[in-house]
Amino acid sequence: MAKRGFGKRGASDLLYPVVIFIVVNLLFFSMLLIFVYRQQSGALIYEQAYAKQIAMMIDYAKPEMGVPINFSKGIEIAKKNGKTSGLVEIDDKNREVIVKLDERGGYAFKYFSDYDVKIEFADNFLLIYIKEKGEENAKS
Amino acid sequence: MLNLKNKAGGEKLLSIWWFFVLTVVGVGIVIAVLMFYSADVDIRELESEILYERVSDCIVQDGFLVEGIFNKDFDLLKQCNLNEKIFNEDKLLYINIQIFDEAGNNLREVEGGIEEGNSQFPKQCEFQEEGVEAKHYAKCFEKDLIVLYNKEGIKQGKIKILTASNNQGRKIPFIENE
Repeated sequence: MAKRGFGKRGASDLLYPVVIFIVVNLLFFSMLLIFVYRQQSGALIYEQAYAKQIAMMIDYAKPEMGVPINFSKGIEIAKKNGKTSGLVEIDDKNREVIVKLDERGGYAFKYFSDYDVKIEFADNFLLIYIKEKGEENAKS
Repeated sequence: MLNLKNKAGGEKLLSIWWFFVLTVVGVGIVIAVLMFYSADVDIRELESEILYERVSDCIVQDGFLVEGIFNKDFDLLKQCNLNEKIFNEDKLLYINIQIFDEAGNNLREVEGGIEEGNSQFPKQCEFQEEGVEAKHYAKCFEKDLIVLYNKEGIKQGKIKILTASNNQGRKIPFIENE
């Protein structure tokens, strides 16, 4: 009896460390993979890229121009993060483009053009309209 | 045949060593990924170039310099529809325009040409041209243009436009977002 008991303990002694070793390794590498995947679909880099791209477009455009920007990746990331509205804002007072693809923050970039800027979404595209300053107010 | 005592010791050693390897690999990957995804997209040079295009487009029309450019009270920002706040309050951009006749004489009444924005930027650009590397120095763009101007008859001249940008954008933290 004592011998059998000893033998059993010996086998499990050999088996458990191997199982634990494999489980710990699997856990570790899956955590790393999840981390890399979450970073890759993270909003920050896209918020920055979109904000700068939109600001460049505004600075380069002339009045009465409409500029479309493909925003499909931004919309996809925002949906993944549970955000469906207010993805892009134009702060007229501070002349800033603000992109928020996440509820936790966003990215702001200043543009130097003094024209009036209006934006709207059409499917996966962001449409930027440039107007002479005060033109909208004059019309209304 | 089997020295269980030694084997257990070996496993312990192996697991300690293995955890060390895992930690090094894990930390390495985390740092590399964070560095890659938090990298700044630097568009200051491009912005300087766009500013140059915008300015040259508005002061040169059909090859001629616009009227009033030689006057002391010429308002470049108003003429080119550029926002005053970002130039003179935020001081993130800079423009300098020098106008010369064919002989190379400065044609503006005011010394130093037409200047708007952060006047520290030209110095920063000079330093960079001399090989000084600084992450937070402005990025510049400079170009000459041959133009015609009407001052006691039509004449040919040259304008030198220097533009610079240090517009870097900002992350909006969660608290401000709230």
